[in-house]
Amino acid sequence: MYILGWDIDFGHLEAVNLISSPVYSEKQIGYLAVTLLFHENSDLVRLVVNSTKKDLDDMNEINNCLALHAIANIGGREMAESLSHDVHRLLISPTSQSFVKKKAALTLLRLFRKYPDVIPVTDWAERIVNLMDEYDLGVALSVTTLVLALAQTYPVEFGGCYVKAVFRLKRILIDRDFSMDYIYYKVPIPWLQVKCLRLLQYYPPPDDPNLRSDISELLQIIITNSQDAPKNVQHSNAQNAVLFEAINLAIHLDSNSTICAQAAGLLGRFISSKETNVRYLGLEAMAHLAACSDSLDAIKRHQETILMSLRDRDISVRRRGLDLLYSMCDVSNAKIIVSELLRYLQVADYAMREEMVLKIAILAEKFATAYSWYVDIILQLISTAGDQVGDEVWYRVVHIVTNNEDLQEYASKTVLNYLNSPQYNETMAKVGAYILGEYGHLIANFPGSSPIEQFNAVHSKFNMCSLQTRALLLTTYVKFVNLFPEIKNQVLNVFNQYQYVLDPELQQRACEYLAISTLPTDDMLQTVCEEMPPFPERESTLLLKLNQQHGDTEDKRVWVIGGKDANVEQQDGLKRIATLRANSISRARAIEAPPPTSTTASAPSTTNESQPHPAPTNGTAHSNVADLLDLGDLDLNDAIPTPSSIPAASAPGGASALTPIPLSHSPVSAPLALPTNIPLAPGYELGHYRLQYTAEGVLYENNDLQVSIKSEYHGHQGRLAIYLCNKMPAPMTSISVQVADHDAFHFQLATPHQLTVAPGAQVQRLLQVTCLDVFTDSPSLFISFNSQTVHLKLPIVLTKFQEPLSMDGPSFFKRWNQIGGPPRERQAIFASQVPIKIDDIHALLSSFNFGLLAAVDPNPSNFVGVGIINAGSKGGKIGALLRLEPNLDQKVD
Amino acid sequence: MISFLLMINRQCKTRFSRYYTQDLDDPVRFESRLSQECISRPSNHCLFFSFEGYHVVYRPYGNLLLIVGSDSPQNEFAWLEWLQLLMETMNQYFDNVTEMDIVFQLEKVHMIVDELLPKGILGETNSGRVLKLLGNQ
Repeated sequence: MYILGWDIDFGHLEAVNLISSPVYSEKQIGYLAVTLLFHENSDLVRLVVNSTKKDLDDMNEINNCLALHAIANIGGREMAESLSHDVHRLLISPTSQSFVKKKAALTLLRLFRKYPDVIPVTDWAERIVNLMDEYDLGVALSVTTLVLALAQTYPVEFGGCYVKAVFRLKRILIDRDFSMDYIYYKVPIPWLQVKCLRLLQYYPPPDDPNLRSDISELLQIIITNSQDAPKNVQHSNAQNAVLFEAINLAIHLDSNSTICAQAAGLLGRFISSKETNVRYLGLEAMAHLAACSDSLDAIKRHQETILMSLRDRDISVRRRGLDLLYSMCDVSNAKIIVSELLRYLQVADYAMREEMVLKIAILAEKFATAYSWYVDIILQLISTAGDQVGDEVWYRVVHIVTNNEDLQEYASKTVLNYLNSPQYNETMAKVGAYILGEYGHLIANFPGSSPIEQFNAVHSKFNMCSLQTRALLLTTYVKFVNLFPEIKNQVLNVFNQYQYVLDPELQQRACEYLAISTLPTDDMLQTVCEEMPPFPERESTLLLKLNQQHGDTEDKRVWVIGGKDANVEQQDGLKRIATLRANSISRARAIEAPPPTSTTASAPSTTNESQPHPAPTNGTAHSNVADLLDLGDLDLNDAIPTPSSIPAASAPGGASALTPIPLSHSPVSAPLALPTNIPLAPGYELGHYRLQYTAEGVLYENNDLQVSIKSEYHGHQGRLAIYLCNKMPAPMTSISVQVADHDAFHFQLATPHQLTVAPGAQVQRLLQVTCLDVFTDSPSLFISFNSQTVHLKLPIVLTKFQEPLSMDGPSFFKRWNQIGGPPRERQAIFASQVPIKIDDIHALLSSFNFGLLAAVDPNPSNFVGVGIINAGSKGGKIGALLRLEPNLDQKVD
Repeated sequence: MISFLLMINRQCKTRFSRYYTQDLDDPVRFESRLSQECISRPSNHCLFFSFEGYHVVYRPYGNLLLIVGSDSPQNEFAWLEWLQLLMETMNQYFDNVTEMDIVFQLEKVHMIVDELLPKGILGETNSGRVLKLLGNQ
């Protein structure tokens, strides 16, 4: 614990002792020290809980307060569990003094924020909401703060607060019923007003017409009040605090009402105000209005002023101006706004350039009326912003040009112009090279853009480019060779030169392109350089990027920057409360539905062809729970029929079990009757799936114990060490570990010699496993202690008995073709929930003991795996072949 | 909900700091970055800005800057006035507060802040009542 940067490591116990002192000053110092010195997880907190409880029950309010203070300031889970009921009692008790109630409310809020699961707030909802009517404004403010937080999580249970908040505002504004000492520079308790107004924004507009008219009356009063000239800064600030919140509420309720029209007028005045703070908030509120309103006319009237705000002295104001311009842009004013933004971009701060570039690109795309305009704007953007242009922007340009045929000629002409200018700009070189490579032939007959001129234009930038761009340029050159055979010689010169360059990527490209270009026939070249097919339509990556930037700090916002459509989801969220009156609002943004990946897997079964192979093995199945770990980026979701890729006969290794021999395998004598009817422990999947592809780790964990496993496998035998760790404060007694009988296994559990585990200690059990046959379900594990039993699944799956093999391409395909379709082959296509990463898939498949064959499949991102499963005496040795073909185009953005 | 309250002088020396969040791994560095940012802002700039993901509201009082930051958007004016309220309360309690009062009676400042802003949540806004409570002790 540090105070002003100094480590404080003494006096902790003395502070604890002072708390129980009967002398007030000692008690107070004790509590102050405890709140400053103790961390919530400190062991010493336990010592404080009892004396704090005593102080909460005390008749002396001062002691109550000190205790509440300490709870709020330390606020560990232990305190929340043992003391929240006392805090609630103090809050609702009619005999509590107002300052006790106030503190109790805030303490409760504090505990709720940290441990929402510990505190039964929904049961207390009614009593808490009723307290909002409290005459004492201090109490009312604290309770409103509490309700504000609770209502966001439980909007339905706390629905009663809506009326109460309106009523409270009425009392302050209309009845002017408040104690005089709460007036802050002539504004009656501005903070409470702000909280009430904000609370109303978390609910959908009310259906009751009386309530509606009440609210609009209140808003009208606030707007009228703001008209009288404030005496000093504090007065005007306090007034504006309420006013801006009121405007936000008005916009939220009905963005087309007369009040909103008035508000728009006021905002117009604000954004030209002399005071920077007011300008800033004026722009922000206007962005809110633009985001919700159907008609932007009221805002467009101030367009000039808003454009001026881009030249404000203060960067935060400029930023807000940018947000507003982005929100208010539509087809009619897009040209003006975009060109103004472009002009401003040249002088804009580096800090906001990237965001500006993105926004300009989005606006240009969204509101383009003519393609030529779009191309002009984007190319101008690229040439102005240069390095600030993210890759997304130029990908998008290429995307759009490819998909719109009318655009291709114009775009090629324009990029050629840009390339001919002496200015150098890397992104421009990339776009130019790409577009000319694809569509250069469209303009080849125009003067000034003959093939050789195109080539020279591109090549003049070549030496200035980074290696990556040069690689791209080489690709363009090979396309030129295809399009314009007349300049082949010049291009071949370049390839020749780059055959000996040091960079392997460039060298490889140069060599390959040279080889392709000098083939006797042009067939290969033409196939390779075929024109790009149109891209599939999908959500703009630019918008994704922008949304990503906003991140999730915005949980408390009721609107987002952007046009009305950007806010539809938010509105939907509110409607959901209105209609469903259920659960909490999910404001989660829609996540792009993951496109499918396809897998081909073959699974010939050794045994009997007529007997369908036992359905999906979970060899490769693991749910998305496992994907929380970075390894599981390839998600073979178990909701979809998983490839039972495992058992396969084509390996010559030995199909010894063509006739299953009935083996009398003696069941392991269980010392106790197995409680097989116990359901699986909740949350067992996480460890179960993870351990399917790792050798050691935590299998299961709850509040009382932790089970971890270390394992090793050789052939058809395996050895597992199961570690049980006691997490309870009390010793764990009569521990027993049992494994349920399984037809396919023979288990041998070492006899336990220790039946008790001390708190914090751990005990080990050894388990020998012999695999006898193929199987699909993992064996069950029962751990019982202190008269409770936990049912888990052992992470034993068929691939654990698999060993990787390697073979060359031809022999793989020979075996693959031998399989000959179902039931020995199984093919499944499934969607990945997460972006596919080749490296992760590689690691994952390897940890499932597949030997991965490189360079067998012509597509480098496809996986080809071979393994051999040793399924014991009954199952025999089974070969397994696997092919996985991730469809990257659908996934990689 | 406020994440931190700082009092920093124009020489970038922290006089008072209170964090209501545990997200920051190096508060000392953070303070110096933040105070430099605040001090470098000319007086005609507005008193709110976002800084490393925090919504910051600050108010200069002579040599001293009062800064609050929150990780969620707040009503900026309300917090600006809350800073004024804090200053007025301290002013009355210390009878014309100076930087030295804050340095030498830090515990009193902590008590005042605990009344006005218990654990980062808006508490009592009536300075008279706060002073009465403190006067009792």
